[in-house]
Formats: sequence, structure tokens, C-alpha cells
Amino acid sequence: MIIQHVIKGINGIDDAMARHLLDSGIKCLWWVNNDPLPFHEVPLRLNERNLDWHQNQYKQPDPLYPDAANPNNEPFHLHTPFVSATAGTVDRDAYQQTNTLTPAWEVALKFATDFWKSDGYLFYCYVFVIGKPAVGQQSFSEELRELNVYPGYSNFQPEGEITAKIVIPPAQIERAEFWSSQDAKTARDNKKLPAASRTLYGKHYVAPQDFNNVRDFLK
Amino acid sequence: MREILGEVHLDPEFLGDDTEFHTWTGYAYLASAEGLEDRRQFRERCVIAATNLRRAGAHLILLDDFREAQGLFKAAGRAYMAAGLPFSAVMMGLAGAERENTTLSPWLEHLAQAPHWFVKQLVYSLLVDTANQALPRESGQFEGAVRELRAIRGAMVGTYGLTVGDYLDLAASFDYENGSRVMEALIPFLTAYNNAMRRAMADAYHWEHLMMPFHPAEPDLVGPIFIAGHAMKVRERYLREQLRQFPLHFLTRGVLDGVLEFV
Repeated sequence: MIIQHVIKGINGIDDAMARHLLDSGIKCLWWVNNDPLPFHEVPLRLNERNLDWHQNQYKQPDPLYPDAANPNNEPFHLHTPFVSATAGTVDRDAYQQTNTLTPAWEVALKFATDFWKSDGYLFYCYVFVIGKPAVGQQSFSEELRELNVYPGYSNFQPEGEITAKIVIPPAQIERAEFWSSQDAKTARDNKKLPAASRTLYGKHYVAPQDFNNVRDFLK
Repeated sequence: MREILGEVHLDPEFLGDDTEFHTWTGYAYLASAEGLEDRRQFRERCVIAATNLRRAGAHLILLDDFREAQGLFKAAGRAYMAAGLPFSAVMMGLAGAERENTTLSPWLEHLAQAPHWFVKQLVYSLLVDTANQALPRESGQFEGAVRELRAIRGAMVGTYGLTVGDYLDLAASFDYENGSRVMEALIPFLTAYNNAMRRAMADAYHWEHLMMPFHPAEPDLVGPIFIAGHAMKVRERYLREQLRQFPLHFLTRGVLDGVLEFV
């Protein structure tokens, strides 16, 4: 098992909502739109079909979810059980054949600013991955960016995708950074990499070095 | 080119903003690589810089500014070269820069101990040098490189289903006066490009903001086709005209028409 740091970009929220997400976790849209979540349905929803739709048909009408309110089939993203995050693609290709390296912050910032239209937040989190597909196992995230695990997704996935399931819990969210689109433009004019304007820290964050398997010596 | 962007749900304003972002991010990473002693860190920053610059360049192709794009491809090529990646040749080929110089020579001395991925990337240099008629003088080493590449003809290069053999065949086709050899050798590239375009567009959500490694003006695919166009022009043949007979998606054709105007 690997503890994988990821970034989640979120647009259209304010400090109060960012604080709420730090305290309660980043939920999938299925949960957001169906609270309380029917937990007994979780094993039925975590399947390869839905993972594929999350990746490739995110906003398409889903024929498996027509109901009275959505006779034309509800768009998939409104009931996705997955939460997208990015780890960049720096080490996507272990054999060094990849000529494109994209840092996680670049990808997350585009989503957070709604593609340069407004301000947003970057949430710094960690998730657990195991180097192989485990769609039905809620505890582990899926490494869709990893060519050796998901070769079928290689060409058209968002860059650096790591997909969490149901919720990224508060213990795994270290901080939320506020990024104004103006700051990015100022950095550009000064020919510097941009930086966040301010940072909120998670009260419930548990640093992974507290429980990983490196045992320190007595000092 | 710009006038058909709306038809394929690409927003020129977004492309302009994104071009600026990737341009300055690319140059900022290049600046941050300067003086780094850690070789791995240096290499990573160079490739991140190159990734950003090539993406900005690809955006500019869609925005009908190929001359400006060539400057970014040249900068990306130099960054790849600093990182030790022979892939830099594709960027240099697209930039149309330094045509009198061989791109293969700098790598040949490393050939004897080179890993598999490195040898495969030499096909890019071989392609560019053959097109430019600028093959390296150290013919013994050059022949060695060609032998190595022939031995791994079936190996995949990149993520679009192309093989080392596809690149070798394309390079070999430049020697024939008859342009139809080039067209035949280009079929795997044109097919891969056209298919990739269609598949990428089918994912509407990611397509609109180009949140995918594939780019509609993908240098991995547009590069070899542009280089082939240059090789044909040297022999007074014009790829742009010959491509008219080849069925392509209108966006694929639009991009290729746009860049081949500049060979």
C-alpha cells in the first residue's frame, strides 16, 4: 500500500464552505445530492462501469438512472460515487518514455479557477493506493493516471487522475489554499510561479508519517 | 482554423488564457531549473517546462499563430535536450530551427549503454535528420543507431499505437522521388491522429477544456507529419495538396492545413 498525496481543486466556494469541507470531508456528488447517503447501495455503485463513466462520460445522461424527475436520464456526475483528485503525472511512466510531466497544482488550479474565470481552492489531501485496480474496495483509491494499472485510460484521461471513493475523510485533508485568479496573473507578470493568497488548516488532519511503517530511532 | 473552433466546442478566449498560463509557467520552471545540482530535480523541471511550452505552442496552432508557436516549440526542444531526451528532435522539427544541423549526433556517444526507452526515442532524431538531409558524419555510429532501431521495429513509441517501424518506414520514404511513398508511410500517423481526435471529442466534458494528455494539435502526431511535409518540399512535392485526397475529420484537416502552410 502507498500513501499518495493528491490535490483537489474546487471552484465556487467561500472560506466558510472550505472550512466545512476540512471539518467534514470532501464527499462525492452522489452523497452531496442524497444526504443521508444510503450506505447499503455503496457496494452496488462502486463498479468498473461507473468508474469508466466517471472518467469518460462525466456529464453525459446516464441511461441507468432515469426517474420521474429526470425523464431524459440524470447526468452521470450528479450521482457519481467517486471523487476526482490529481497527483500530477511526474512519475506516471516508470520506464521514462513519457515526455510530458505535469505537476498536480497546474491541473488542480485549472479546475479550482473554473479554467481561469474565477477564484478557487486547492485541497491538499492523501489517499491510499495499492498499485492495482480495486474498484469495489472503498478504502483504496484508483490510480487512473497509472499506465501500468489502467492502460485503457492512457490517452484521454484528465492528467494525473487519482480517484477516491465516496468521501475523502477529514483526517486525510491537510489544508485548503485560496488562490485568486488575479494572483496568478500577477505572478505571470513577474515571471514567477504563483502562490496561494491564504491557507486554512484541517483540525482533524492526521499526518501520514504518524502511522506509516518507518520506525524512527529513540532520540 | 480559428473560425472552426466554435463548431468543435473550443473557446478561443479560454485557449488564449491557457496559452498565457502555460507559456509563463514553462519559462518559470526553466528559470527554476537553472543552477540545480540534483540531476533528477533538474531533469524534472526541464521536462515540466517543456510540457508547458509545447502545450502553449499547440494551443497557438489552433489560434492560427504558428510562427509564435514555433518559438515555443524551439524553447521546448531545448528544454527536452537539457533533460537528455532525444524527443527534443520533434520540437526542433516543428520549430523549423537549425535545419542544417544534425539532431542525432549528440546522442550517439551514449548508444552503447543506452536503455531501451532512449534508443526508441532516437527514431525522432533519425526522422528529422533524414528530412533535413543532415545526417551525422560519424557514419559508423549512425549505422549502429539504425541497426539498433531496426532490431526493435515492433516496439511501441508513445501512446498512440505507433511503432519504431512506422517511423523508420516514414524516414525511408523520404529517399524516393515519388511522393506516394511518403503518403503510404504516413497512413499510420494520419489514422492514429484522426482516431485520437474523434475519441477525444467524444468525451465532451474533458474536451472543452482540453483536460487530457492528447491535444487537438498534438505535437507527437503533427510533428512527424510536418517533418514529412518539409522532406517533400525539398523534393518539390507538396504534402498539403496530396492530403486533400485523404479522408480526414475536418478539425484534423484544419490543423494539418494550417501547419503545412509553413513548411
